[in-house]
Amino acid sequence: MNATLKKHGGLVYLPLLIAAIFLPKFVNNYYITMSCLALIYMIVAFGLNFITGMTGQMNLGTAGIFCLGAYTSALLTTRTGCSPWLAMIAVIAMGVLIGFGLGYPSLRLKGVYLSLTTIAFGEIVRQLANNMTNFTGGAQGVRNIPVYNLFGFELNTKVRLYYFLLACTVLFGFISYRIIKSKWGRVFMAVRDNIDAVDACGISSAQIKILAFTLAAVFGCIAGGLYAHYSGYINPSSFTLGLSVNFVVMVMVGGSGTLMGPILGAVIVSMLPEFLRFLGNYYQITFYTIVLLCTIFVPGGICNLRIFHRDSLRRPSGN
Amino acid sequence: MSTILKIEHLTKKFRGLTAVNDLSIEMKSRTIHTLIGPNGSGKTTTINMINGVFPPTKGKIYFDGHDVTDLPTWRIARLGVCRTFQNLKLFNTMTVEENLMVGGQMTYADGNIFSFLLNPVKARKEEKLLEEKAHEAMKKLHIEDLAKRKTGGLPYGKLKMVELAKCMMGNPKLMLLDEPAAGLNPSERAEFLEILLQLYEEGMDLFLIEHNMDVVMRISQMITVINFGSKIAEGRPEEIQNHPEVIQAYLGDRYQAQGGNKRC
Amino acid sequence: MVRIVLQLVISGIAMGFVYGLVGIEYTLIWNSTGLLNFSHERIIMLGAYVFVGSMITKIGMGVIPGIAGALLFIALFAVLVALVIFIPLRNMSRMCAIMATVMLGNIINEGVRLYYGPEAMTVKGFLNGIVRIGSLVVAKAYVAIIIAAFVILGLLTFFMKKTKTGKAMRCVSSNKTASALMGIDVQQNMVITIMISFLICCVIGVMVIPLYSVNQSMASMISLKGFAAGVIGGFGSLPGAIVGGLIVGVIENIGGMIFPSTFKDVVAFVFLILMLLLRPSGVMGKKSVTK
Repeated sequence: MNATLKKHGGLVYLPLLIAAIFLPKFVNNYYITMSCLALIYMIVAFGLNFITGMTGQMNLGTAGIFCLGAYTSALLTTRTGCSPWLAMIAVIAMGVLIGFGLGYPSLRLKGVYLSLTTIAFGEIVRQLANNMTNFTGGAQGVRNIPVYNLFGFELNTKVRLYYFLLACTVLFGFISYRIIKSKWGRVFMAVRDNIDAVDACGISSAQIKILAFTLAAVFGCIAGGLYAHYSGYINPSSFTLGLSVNFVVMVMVGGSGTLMGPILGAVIVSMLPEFLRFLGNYYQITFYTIVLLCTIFVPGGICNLRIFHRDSLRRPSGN
Repeated sequence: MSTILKIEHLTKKFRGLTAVNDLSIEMKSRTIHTLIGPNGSGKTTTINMINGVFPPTKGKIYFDGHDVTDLPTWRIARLGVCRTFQNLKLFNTMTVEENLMVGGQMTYADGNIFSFLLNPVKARKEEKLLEEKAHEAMKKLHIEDLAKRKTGGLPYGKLKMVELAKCMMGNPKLMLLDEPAAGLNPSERAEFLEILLQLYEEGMDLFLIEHNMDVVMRISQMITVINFGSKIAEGRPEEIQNHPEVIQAYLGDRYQAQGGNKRC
Repeated sequence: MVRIVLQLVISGIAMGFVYGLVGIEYTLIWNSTGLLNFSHERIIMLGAYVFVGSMITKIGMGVIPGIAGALLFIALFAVLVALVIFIPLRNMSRMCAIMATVMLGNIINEGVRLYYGPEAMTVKGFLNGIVRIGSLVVAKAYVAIIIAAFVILGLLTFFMKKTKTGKAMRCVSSNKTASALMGIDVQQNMVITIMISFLICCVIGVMVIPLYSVNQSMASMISLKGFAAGVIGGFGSLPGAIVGGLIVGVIENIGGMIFPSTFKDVVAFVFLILMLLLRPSGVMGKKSVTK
């Protein structure tokens, strides 16, 4: 039974996908909007899962990555009038660039130093977006960002956008799943567990870290681009340290090192506050308290709880 | 007989402390060579320099004709030098099987993420090959039953086996073993030695650091003794056993001569 | 020109002491529990809110009793936080610990918003006005900050060097196991450290009221730059934190003169990253007052 489970582990995601496909039939526009956002965040969380979840390098600058992706796409399309698809190439290039830029410090800096560097990175990006008024539009942000156009089919309604984003998320989820379940995923976790041993195994831990950062940055930038064209308007005040923290919460609450973790995390972090709205003024404080309790009592994340563990079922007794 | 590992005038200084001082060793291929010495004599420092953990202050290291002095660890490993660590370095959140698969990655898998993403068929083949090799290695070391266990909770003796298996997975020409027998009970030690000898028979050369004299004398063909970072003797086991300076350094003055002055 | 530079340097030094105090406040917790307190921004803010919102506005105390009241409240709060969050968390993975302190900060933030309301507050006449030193004009608030910083440093040094608890604190920061074996109650010691750290936060919060007024984001920049100060000075070192704070304060002010002043914060953070890459051990190295 275990072998079949392992072989068809991907099947767990099928009901989720079906539910996601039929979702717009059952909920109103408000929830579709929220789901769109959750899908975009999911892509960021897939990326962050590589670097923070698996490789163990704290990244509190994800909002900066997301912001750069969004601004690259938004500015290119509004200033030069090029198509959002063309801008996507620039966005990916930006992701690679950030990946190297952030990956390099991670070779020299560990632990809190790296956390602080990434925080500083995020803050610098936000401040620049805010203050380079001529180039970025400053605090006013960028308006009238065009929508994606799929072979002459404008993605201009919420439902169409939702399906487009769902398709993107499935694509990136699939890529992410393949990486997690492969030698790459193993090496990422190996770097977190024992970095010296990775080098002794003939694998350059430096290259692996940079790879993980690059993957995270590319995913984050693409999600940023999607976000810009999805919302049509961006301004610097949405890319705060709080957003970076939320991304890390997604990965941690869901459970790192799995695909399900970021999915659950993104859904929980973007949906739960809405479902807590009935608490009135107290909904946010309740949400934060829940997350705090989660980090204290379920430090490995929901997906890594013992009950879901394959080998906990067959752990031989004794010894 | 050709030389597999050659160390020339190796010196390592940490600030003011000279850990290794002008050490030269020539290790012939097809030998089991042991480096011994009292605690703090610079053995682990030497191994660390050989596999590139830190560069030497002075001196050169050649492996199989390549100058590996300034290469990073992972490049040296790819040339065919693998090492085990004295205080085991394993990936504790992963299973034994996965640990070994990481160990074999450089040999059996390719390191390009694009070809991985674009060619799932090849990726699956690689994965299968890695799994097979891991099981082969586990079978050889009699730890196959542990394949799906996380290394986190395993007993020390088993962990040593996993560490050795992980090292083997890289298919090295030369294995550097840092105190392989430390912490093992006598029966585990005997099993471990047998496996080491078997590996040697299969064509791997072994370079050991060892404390346990029993082990050293039984398997070594050549022994280098260092004290305070300098070489004090080198030779076959029986020569070393009777070398007066070695006895003095290793066992203390009181063993020097039976009737000699005792110094407390 | 010289006067302008001097003026900037003085305000840089005053802000530098604020950053330095923030650096000290989180370094204390770091040394004692090994946790980076990401909630310190909110503690600073809470201190200011308790002082203005409760002590002065609601109860109608004067400034001095108001500060005393706020300190007392924060001290009790510190004990609670230490027992409920910091001590259980200290053996967890670093990431969990960071997230937990961030969440604690968010909870405090929300709590403040719910209790005191979203409007900014201020205290009329509190540390307003200027002091003239020769031809230089210095805001009264800056003078107060510098004096407060020296008082805190003096008290802290005395406490660490002369009292039994302070000595125990230094032991705990250098080796917890050994301290426990020597009969030091490590947990109790951590509670005291956290309390001191929170008290310093509270003082910072009160002192910067004239600069930022009392609102929920009042401390976000000083807390981040406080981190920068600690790192630049050399992580874990208390005098280093002050030196680092002064460097950050002066550099960002001078930088604000060279670049447009809106880029002041960018200058500070770029400097932080450069410092981290070029000299990760900080200007004061690994030397530490606690050793």
